Amino acid sequence: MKIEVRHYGAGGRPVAQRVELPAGSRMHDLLARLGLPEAEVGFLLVNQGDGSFDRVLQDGDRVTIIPPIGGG
Amino acid sequence: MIADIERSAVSRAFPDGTPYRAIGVREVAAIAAASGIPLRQVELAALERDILPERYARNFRSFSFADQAALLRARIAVVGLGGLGGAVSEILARLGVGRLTLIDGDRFEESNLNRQLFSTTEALGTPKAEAAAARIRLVNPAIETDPRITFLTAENGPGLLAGCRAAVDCLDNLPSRFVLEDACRSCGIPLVSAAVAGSSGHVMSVFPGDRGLRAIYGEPGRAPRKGAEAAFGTLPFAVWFLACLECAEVVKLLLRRGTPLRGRLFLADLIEGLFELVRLGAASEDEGAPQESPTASDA
Repeated sequence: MKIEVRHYGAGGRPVAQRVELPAGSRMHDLLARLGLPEAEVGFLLVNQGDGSFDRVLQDGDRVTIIPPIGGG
Repeated sequence: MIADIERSAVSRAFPDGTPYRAIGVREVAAIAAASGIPLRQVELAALERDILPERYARNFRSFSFADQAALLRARIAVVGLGGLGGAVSEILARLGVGRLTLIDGDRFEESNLNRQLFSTTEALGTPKAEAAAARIRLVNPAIETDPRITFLTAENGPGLLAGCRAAVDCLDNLPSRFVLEDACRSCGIPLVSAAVAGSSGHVMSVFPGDRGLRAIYGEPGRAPRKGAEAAFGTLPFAVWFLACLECAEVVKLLLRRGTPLRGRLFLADLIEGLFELVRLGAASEDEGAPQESPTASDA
């Protein structure tokens, strides 16, 4: 299945990308594929709704990853 | 004073040919000097007679005479006068937001020069609040500034924000942002908050009953001191872009126009050209509702 990922505050990582994952994969599988430690995730959205690390992803889901951002 | 304002008014036309009466910067200054009345009050008196201070001509007719007067009467706190706060202060002063409480206990250092509007090589070591007030005097001396060379704390926060219609969060670390949010809650005023890391950033407005910053950072005790900006810096075009969005939020709040970014987060990455507006989960009952009247009054 294909997951659309938008990763803000990524500092050089691709901000928007499509990730191919096996059916039944969960959010933490996606983060592992991206090489992104859970500690670096501030909050997650799936299809602009609530996300969580153990959420089972569906083909075509859009995941928005936002680390803590505090600069000014 | 009124007779002087009427006498000093001249007929002008907007680029589309619509006529209006205007009063110039020099005339406003002369009337203020002769009458001993502050520039801001002279401008307000002119606006009440449908005479437009020419410095606001390009705000018109996006803003009516009454709108411009409402901005000129308002007090806003800008908390943090670095990248976001410098641009926010400059824009609010040029818009004609009449009274600005400018809060920052810091002084300019070299690493500020990539993005902080009031930082110059000559200003290194200068208190940011002093530099902000000096710049605003040059840009729009009708704006009454209250520079405070201090950091906002749980103790001094409510006093610093007293009389403000809203506060603009231009801080650079997460714990201070929560302290400011608490102070806004205790004063019953909205908070406009933006943050930047690298070329990314977000902005939202928080009303006193809202979940607010907890919706994006979690509980204050668990949030780190610094976010992704510790690794990726703060790029000036992202900082100023987010500062512009904060100013638009302030205008929406002051003029009760449009829909504030309440219970919603505007996200952007300027290098990728990504922009999106997301709803924040578990919003309070009121979030997303039309904005209520701010509680603080204008003098």
